Amino acid sequence: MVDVLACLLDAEEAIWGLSISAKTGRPTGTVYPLLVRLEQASLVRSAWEAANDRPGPRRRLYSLTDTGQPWARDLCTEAASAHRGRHAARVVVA
Amino acid sequence: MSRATRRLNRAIRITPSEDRDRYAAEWRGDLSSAAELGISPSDVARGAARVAWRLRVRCWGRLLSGADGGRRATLAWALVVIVLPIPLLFVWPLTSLVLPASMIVALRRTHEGRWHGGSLVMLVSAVLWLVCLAASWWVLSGVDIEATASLQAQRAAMAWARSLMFGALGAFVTFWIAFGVTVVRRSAGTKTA
Repeated sequence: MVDVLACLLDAEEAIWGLSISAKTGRPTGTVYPLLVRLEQASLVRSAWEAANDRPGPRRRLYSLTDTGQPWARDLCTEAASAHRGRHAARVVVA
Repeated sequence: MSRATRRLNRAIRITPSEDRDRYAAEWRGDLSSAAELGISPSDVARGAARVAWRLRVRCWGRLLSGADGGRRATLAWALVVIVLPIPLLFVWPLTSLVLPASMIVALRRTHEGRWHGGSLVMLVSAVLWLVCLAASWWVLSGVDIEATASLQAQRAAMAWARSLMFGALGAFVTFWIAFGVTVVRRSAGTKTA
């Protein structure tokens, strides 16, 4: 979940659901249900992209809500410090 | 029509009608653009199927919990009570796998990383259900093996088995009531938030 949230945090604008899957390397079977759960919890919002000149079907774009932004940032920071802790422990053991 | 498209169409049919238009348009668009990002169309269809089932299960949960109205919930429960004995009678081996599997799925849905009131009640009743079933099977198989046992001993064993079966039924019902309560409380909490 953390890499999906990091992807949403890094994006300056709303991001296409499928490109989250491509960027994180996670299958859509993981990313889609996660986005649905986050949207149901009002942490993520989604909207159709505005009409433009790009050919092809319209895309559904996802972004973090005002509640979701700090929540995602906290979670990513927590995960990063936990990862650093594990890494340090491995170095000590080695 | 490709296999991925057929799978996606199935997922769209599974999706509850109130969500269908939104997800169908999104998934169809994603399926046609998947190759641009180097994603397999089957992967998109698989993701869609997972979301469709999640939404369908949520819809059933809402229906059974009464969130869509008392009359609809009563009808849904009546349907469950009528339909449930059919697989129990005719496909017992399948049911014996489906019931524990559905309980594991329900437990995972409500657990969310820590044990709290509702999920703890569910865990305890699931364990009790399993123990009662195993014990009743053991008592009944013991009666079968000792065919020469006296009638009185057989009656005593049958009484034990009956009590254990009631215990299993009680634990099973408790498990699903706890699940319903947890889902309703969580959805109420989400609405408030």
